Amino acid sequence: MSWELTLEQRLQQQAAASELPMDSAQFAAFYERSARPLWAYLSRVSGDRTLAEDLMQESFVRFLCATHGCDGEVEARRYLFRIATNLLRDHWRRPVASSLDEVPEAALAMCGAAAMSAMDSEAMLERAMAKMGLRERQMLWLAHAEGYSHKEIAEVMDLGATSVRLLLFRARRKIGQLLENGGAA
Amino acid sequence: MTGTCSRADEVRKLVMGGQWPAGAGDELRGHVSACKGCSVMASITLAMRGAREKDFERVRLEPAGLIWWRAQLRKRREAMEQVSRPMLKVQTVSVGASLLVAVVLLAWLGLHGASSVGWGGWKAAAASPFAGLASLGGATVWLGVVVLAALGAAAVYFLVEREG
Repeated sequence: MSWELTLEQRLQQQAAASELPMDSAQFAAFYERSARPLWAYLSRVSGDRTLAEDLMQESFVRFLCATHGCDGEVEARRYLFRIATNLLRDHWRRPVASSLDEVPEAALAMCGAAAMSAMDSEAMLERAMAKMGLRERQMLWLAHAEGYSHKEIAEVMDLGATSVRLLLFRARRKIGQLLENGGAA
Repeated sequence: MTGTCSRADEVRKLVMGGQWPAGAGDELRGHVSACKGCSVMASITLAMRGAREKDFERVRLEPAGLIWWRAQLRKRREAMEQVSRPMLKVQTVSVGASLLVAVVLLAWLGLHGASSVGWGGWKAAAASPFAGLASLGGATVWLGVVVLAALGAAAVYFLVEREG
């Protein structure tokens, strides 16, 4: 009898555990609003569009599978960015993959050599971003493209808010100098 | 936000909202042209927001339904694994216990000799319970071996079936 009860309880647990935190319509709306910003973040930080697509899909799947409850879309999106940031970090830590710190500049320029030679603002930004460290790229993008506060960046990147303030200040000064020189050092 | 100028955050918000420079007053525009920190803030934010907008046009999104379906599959698999984990433990313990007892039995046979193990022990025990106890041990060993073999085989079968 106790075995039957345990089995029944387990099946109920399984049914509850296999439910996703959003229904498909809610998710479709959330995906429509969040996928593009997430792809832009992953793509600009990694410099690899294919990787960005893979990590974006995995981020959404993990987001749906997580038991983490989110109060509202802003928090949900922040949590999604946190998952993506962790996935990026895991990717960089893999020994088989080359460190993105060492990826040549050309690999990070996503519009090819023609765009690199053109001195428009996007090409300049790409040149400058290619010379920044990974953490600097993440912080700058979150602060200036996504408009996140120090506290939010700290939450997404799992850092202290004070560290973020200092690191972001340095990163901004560095990229400012690079942009002044047309993206070159 | 910048750590350099108290007005940098104001500039950043205007750029983020797409209101720079039209939405800024002459005084703020004059300040930005003179302040290094604010001009850097404006140029970085403008460049990044512009790049972000271009990326929005470039990205080709998978259908939301496909992501949803993949998440459902993974969630079900995880839930199934969670439920079957205790059963796997029981099966592993069963196999381990069977092996342990089999080793003990083999050692016992080695010490007492195979000739002491036989159904004669049961007959002796039935005729004279006290005198037959010693010989009953041999028959019990055989019974134990058969039961353990059956249990071990069942445990291995379920384990293999699950892995398959």
